[in-house]
Amino acid sequence: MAREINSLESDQVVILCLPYHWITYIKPLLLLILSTGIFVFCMLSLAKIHTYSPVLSDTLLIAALLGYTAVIHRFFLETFDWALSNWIITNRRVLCFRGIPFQRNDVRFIDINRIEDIEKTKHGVWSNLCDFGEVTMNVAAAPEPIVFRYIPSPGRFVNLIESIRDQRLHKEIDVHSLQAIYGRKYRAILRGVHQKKMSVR
Amino acid sequence: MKIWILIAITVINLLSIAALVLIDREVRYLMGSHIHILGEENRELVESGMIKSFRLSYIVIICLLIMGSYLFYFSSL
Repeated sequence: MAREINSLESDQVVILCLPYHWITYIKPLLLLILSTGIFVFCMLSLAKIHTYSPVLSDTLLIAALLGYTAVIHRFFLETFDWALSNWIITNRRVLCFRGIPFQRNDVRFIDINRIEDIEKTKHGVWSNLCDFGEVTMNVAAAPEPIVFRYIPSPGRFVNLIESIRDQRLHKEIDVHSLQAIYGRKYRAILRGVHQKKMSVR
Repeated sequence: MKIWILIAITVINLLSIAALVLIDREVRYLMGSHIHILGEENRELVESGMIKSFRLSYIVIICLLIMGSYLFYFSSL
């Protein structure tokens, strides 16, 4: 199977790696908690059921074990989907990875210089309370707008892309604001970009 | 308890182990393809501690479920 994709050019520097917002992880987590409760309840009630109907008790044991095993595998598939799906912003491109084991292995490259319009939307209470939303990009020659969903701090995300597009990232203030937003994890990468930019200037 | 329950438990557990092995292999493949795109210098972005701990907890939970199912069967004999 031909699954090879070209790697980044050597002059590209990763500025930010951003996962989906944690809110997407809530649904599988709640499903796991609920399933664990049902499984434990089934196991505890097996002895009682056995006194009335041994066949029903045996069948329930196998069904509960089979169902709970399936739920656990499903939960970890969702977990790996969340962990492997992220946005990478380099000094020239936005890369969108979506990787669900056995279901999806998508990689999208968007040239930042070809982005014409960029728009963020935050609708609803949860979206505004937990600070996540959608970012819509109109890319030149693309048939329809590209929509990124569940982006943490979409306003900052848009500002960062606009800063790169307008070549304003070298300013000290942008690097500091990014460090404040996205935390220590990206500090070394951001510092590396900043030093590289300064040396070019 | 009857022997068919032990056989059913064994079949479910074997299927579970097979799924675990296949999913873990696919996760490693996806990580490898992301590293291939981003380059070796960005390996730490893909191979974060989070994915390692998720993989480890996946293996531990499946092992616990397998052991628990056999313990339950033999304790109820």
